[in-house]
Amino acid sequence: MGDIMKLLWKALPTLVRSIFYQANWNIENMQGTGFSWLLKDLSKRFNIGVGDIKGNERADYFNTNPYFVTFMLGMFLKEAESGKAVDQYKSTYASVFGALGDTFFWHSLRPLTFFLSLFIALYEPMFAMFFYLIFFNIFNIGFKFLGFYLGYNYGTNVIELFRTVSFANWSNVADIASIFFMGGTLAITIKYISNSEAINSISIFKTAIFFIAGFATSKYVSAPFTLIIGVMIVTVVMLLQNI
Amino acid sequence: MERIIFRVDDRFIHGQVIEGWINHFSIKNIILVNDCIATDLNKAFIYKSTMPRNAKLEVISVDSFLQLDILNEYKKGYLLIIVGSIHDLKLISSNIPKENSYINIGCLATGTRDISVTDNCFINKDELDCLINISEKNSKNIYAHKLPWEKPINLKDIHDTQIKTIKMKG
Amino acid sequence: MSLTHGILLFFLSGFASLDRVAGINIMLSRPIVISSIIGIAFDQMLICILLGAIFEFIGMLEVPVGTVILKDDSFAGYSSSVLISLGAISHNNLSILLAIILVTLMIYPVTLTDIYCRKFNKLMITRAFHENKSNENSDSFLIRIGLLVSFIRGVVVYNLATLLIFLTLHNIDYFEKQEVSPIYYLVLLFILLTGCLFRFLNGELFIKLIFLIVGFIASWVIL
Repeated sequence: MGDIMKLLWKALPTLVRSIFYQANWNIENMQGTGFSWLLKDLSKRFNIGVGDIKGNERADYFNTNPYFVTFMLGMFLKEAESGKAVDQYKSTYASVFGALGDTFFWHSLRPLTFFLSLFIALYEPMFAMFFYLIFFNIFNIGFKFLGFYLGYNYGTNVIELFRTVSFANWSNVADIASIFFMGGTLAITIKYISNSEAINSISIFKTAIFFIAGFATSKYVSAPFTLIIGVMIVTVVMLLQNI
Repeated sequence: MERIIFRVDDRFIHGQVIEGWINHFSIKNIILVNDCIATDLNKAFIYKSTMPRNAKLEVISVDSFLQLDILNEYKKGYLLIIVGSIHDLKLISSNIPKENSYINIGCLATGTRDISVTDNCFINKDELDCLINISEKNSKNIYAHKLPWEKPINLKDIHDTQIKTIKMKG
Repeated sequence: MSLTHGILLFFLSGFASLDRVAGINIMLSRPIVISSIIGIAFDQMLICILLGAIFEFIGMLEVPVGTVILKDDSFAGYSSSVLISLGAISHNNLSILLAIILVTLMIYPVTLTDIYCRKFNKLMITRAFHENKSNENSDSFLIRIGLLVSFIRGVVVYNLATLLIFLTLHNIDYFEKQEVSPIYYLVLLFILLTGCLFRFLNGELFIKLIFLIVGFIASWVIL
């Protein structure tokens, strides 16, 4: 435990910097500038010659999921210390972490956090935002800090760890959980509105119709236009109710 | 979308491939054709670890792919075949089925390439000619787009524009 | 709106843009989070959280893979919550639905500024390559300028776009009570669209312009 803390403490400034490394994101070298900036900073803190870390050229194309960048930093540090060439794994791991991270963080964790916080919002709206930030950032900070240690510990074999915990399946589990909470949120919302005298009640039938309409339109049009079409359907419903 | 998708992508498997293609079409069979990765077990293992549940990735060499009878071995469902360069696509072009197949160009980094097709797809004159050659030989269009729902760019149009520009300069 | 509210909106719009474009990624840019903060500040909790939830879907339905730039849902959450908190949307059904349509449409030009931010970054990095600057100071400068630009983008673009929607909603409300012929507005829209077609038609810009002016003057004088 002491070793982990020592390592993380030493790398702390670089890890903090890593939250800004995407600032120069562009379609020329993607996150290349930021990654080279982080590597240079890391080599300074661990007294390694910048030249010893290969593949840290700013012009190099680099793009991965931002929550996984510290895994790469740890891996580069480990390999630079042991004198092995790691740069041949740079593009492979960048792509692979991009794939794993995009699927888990962007595709699955956002909806799960959203529905969990909506669930909480139904009881106490004030807590929803705090829950969203805390829940998501447990993963964010966990991956950033633990990722650096694991990357350093496992080196280029870090993928075995992901295989052991079946990380590729986490996304499926999170998606199923999101759907469960989606059902729950819908039920509580409708029940709450139906019980409230001030608002027109929404029947189960109407819920089903709107749900199916959303399911159908999303196949053909993008989300913003689905929303606009939705608004139009709502106005028609309003009109029918007033006739 | 046709059942058998060929994709040229120098990053092989990354977010766009998993999110955009494999998850979008629920593709169960993926073949990565590359001589280097086929012999490097470590790298092949890394790529295989990214596969979602129910999706199976095979990493094979160009020669092994040429001996593969795609239509008979993969009779049902989608099949995604990923190659790393246009050169590799040319090598396997004799095994591209005439029917039910779609050729897509994904990410190709700039390097020495000077023709920009999309914001992350660059090719040079020789590669463009090679693609047109493959396109004519297989009598099917080749499209460049990152994700299936994006507007595809026909490489033939790029070729025509190139010829027009050269003529105008001449 | 008090000064405290103004300062809060200034920093919120800036940090939301920073969080989605340039890094941090602590999810401050999610519509539901922004809307909740505005809802707490202006005491409009329930309606703000619902608006945030609606626009959250736009972001959730897309995944930022590779060079894909997401539609700016943070703006939508920010803008809709500010509009309701400042009273631009009267608590009548149609007004809020119209506001949702306007905010949704405004997402497109706002997203375009995100693309321009990336282009600006590209310009900076190509210039650094050109001048062959490779020291760490130059890297830090590029990162800092990226952060600054995305912050400014948030403050300027989010608030300007919100102001535009605010004025549109306000004017619709105002002109509804005036007796102005709708033909006046239709002609204005017609003129705007002729401008679009002018660009579309082939020919050198200068020649097109001359013919347009000659045609305009000739018809004005003769007819």
